[in-house]
Amino acid sequence: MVFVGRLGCLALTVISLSACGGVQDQVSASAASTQLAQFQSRPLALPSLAPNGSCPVTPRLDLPTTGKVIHGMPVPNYGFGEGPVYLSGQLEWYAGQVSIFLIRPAYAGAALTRGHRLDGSGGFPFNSPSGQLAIPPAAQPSQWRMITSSLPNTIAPGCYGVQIDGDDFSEVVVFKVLTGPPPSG
Amino acid sequence: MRMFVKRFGALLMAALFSTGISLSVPGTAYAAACWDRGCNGGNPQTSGCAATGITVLTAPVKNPQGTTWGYVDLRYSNACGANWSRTRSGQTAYCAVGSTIYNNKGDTPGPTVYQDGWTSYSTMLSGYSALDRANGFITCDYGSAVGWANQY
Repeated sequence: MVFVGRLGCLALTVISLSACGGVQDQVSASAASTQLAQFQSRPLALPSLAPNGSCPVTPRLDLPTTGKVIHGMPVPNYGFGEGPVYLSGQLEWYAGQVSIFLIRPAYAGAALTRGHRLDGSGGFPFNSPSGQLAIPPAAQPSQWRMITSSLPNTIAPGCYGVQIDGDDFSEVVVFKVLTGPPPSG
Repeated sequence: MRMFVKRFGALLMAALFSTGISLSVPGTAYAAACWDRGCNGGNPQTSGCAATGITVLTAPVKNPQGTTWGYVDLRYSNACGANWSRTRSGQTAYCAVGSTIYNNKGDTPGPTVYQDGWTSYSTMLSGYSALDRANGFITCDYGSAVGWANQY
């Protein structure tokens, strides 16, 4: 049993370095659970598309991140979405590609990303067994944050939408997954 | 009981924030073919680094009159810790399309390693321990264009 407990804490170090710390962490876990439940209770407000309708792709925004680096990884200077959370990492999307969620320094809270294909049957467009992606609160405030994920290798080409819910915002990002392998390089 | 609650809280946190999240820890998600300066001169495509590539910056490739002929991307692989340059021509004609990658550590720039008349990419250069900038050019029978995607 002790082994199981230690294993739990060991697994947790990947997620949160402080979560095995004590009573305060129990409170944090409970608060996080409540917060995610609140986000999940919000209805999805993704656009519905007519068959063969055009995909209302979210425009790209320039972000003031040129030259910024997080743990040695350069921060892209663009993103898709209204913010404070942006989808980034690729200008065009293909199956299997790495994706990034960028979070503005002004937002230090947690967020939840949910969504599905808009022009056909298809689930959450990022690798996640739970069909959603939770963004943890900032460990350090006032800094850009980056969460890496990826599109499944088996994702079907089409129009996809995700809704990102946070403490005081709810935003939608629509993007198109293109047919075929990504361009070389 | 208290210990159980404590551990349950930890596991709950793990369940809440685990699925689908990969923190930005370099080199953990994939077996990298090379790392940082060890990638200098390597081919991003054949090494497999391009499979984990992201576009960090993109900039127009313009002719002297200011017309955009294409785009140059600064690409980076988190698994390999290396950058490279990729150029995409928007010209309908077959042109010489080139890409070069530089960094602020004075490493030998990485030249074009692949080009097919419309796209090209360079070899890799260290990116984890350096800032990089990508150069792209398009040379056609009727003129030429150049662009930079600068991280520094």
